[in-house]
Amino acid sequence: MDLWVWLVLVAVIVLLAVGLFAWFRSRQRSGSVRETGKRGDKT
Amino acid sequence: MSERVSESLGRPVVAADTAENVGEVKAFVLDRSGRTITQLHVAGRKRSAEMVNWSDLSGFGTDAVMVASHDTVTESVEERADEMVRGHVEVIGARVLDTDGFEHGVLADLEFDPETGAVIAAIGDGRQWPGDAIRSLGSYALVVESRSAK
Amino acid sequence: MTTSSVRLLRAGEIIGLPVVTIDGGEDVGEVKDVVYDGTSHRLIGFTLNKRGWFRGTLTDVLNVAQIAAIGGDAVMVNSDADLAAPVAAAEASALEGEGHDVIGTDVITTDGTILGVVSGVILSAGERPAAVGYELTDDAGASVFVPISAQLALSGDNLVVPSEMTPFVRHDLAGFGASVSEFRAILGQGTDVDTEGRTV
Repeated sequence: MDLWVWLVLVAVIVLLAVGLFAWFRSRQRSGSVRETGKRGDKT
Repeated sequence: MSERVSESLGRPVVAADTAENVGEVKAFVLDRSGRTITQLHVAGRKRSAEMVNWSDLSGFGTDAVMVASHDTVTESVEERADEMVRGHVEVIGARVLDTDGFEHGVLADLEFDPETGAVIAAIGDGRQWPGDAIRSLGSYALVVESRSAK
Repeated sequence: MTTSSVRLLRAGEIIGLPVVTIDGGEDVGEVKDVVYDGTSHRLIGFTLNKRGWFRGTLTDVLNVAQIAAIGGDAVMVNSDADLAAPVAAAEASALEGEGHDVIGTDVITTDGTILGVVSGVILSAGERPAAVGYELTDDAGASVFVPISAQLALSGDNLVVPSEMTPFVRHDLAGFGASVSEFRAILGQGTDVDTEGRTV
């Protein structure tokens, strides 16, 4: 029984790690349409 | 006189000097321009693929492809041929993308000159592009000149 | 170049498009940020991601001068030599993160009408790609298209547009192209682009 608990724990940790990596990676890759110059510098 | 890739696949490849089968037409290798067939993959898979250069063919017939000499079948596979043998670069099924950045379905077939190995036409679903409108064949797409479809 | 009008597209739809080489048929990257100049509104270029969901960003950028075409399915370049490290300092800062996102800015006319909130930028994809309009979402949730002009005033979170622009506002992208060229003709814009992407 202990083995199964351990296996599930490892699986959950692996899934969390993959999920975290995927989340960080998608934030790093996310793009946007950008206008140069600072806000408010046009008169 | 012209041939189609789809109709030639599986055709036996025979050495004219020994009359033995050296394999069958398993795949076509085209250069990066996508306008010329340079080799045929005739036997083996991946690292042990056996190839015949187009220039070593003595005839591309409707029943068999003839190689002048059995010892021109080579095992060395250079990068471009390897990409095509492994399917990283496809011919049939390749995405067709024009130089304006618009897709036009996938490639259904290629029509070629059996003597020179030159591509005469790229055939898609309901339309085709002349061979000289082809700009390149890579792992992402067959690139064709925009507005050249017939 | 044909004399048909230049294609207008939503800049946001370029994000994620593959960058494909004409000489190789290879997807050498994909579009990450679409960057345009806040004053001239000309497209400066794109920052890039590697292809594949779990891969990172590319340090190379694609400068507008090296873009062969912006299509609905791909951005075309002549060869992979067209992706390069940013050269000029201004280009480098523009393409490496300075600048801001105009999305979310409230748009008000000089006579006090709130037109909506910016939800996107409309680009003309010709020889000289440029931002030619903003897509707004009005309070009913509908899309409103407003031409960009040199008379826009941007202050803090508001964009103030001249009331002369009101007749040129459209509610669909299809009719917007004609509206943009009419608007520019009337305002006699000297440093903007015409419908074929040439400087007028």
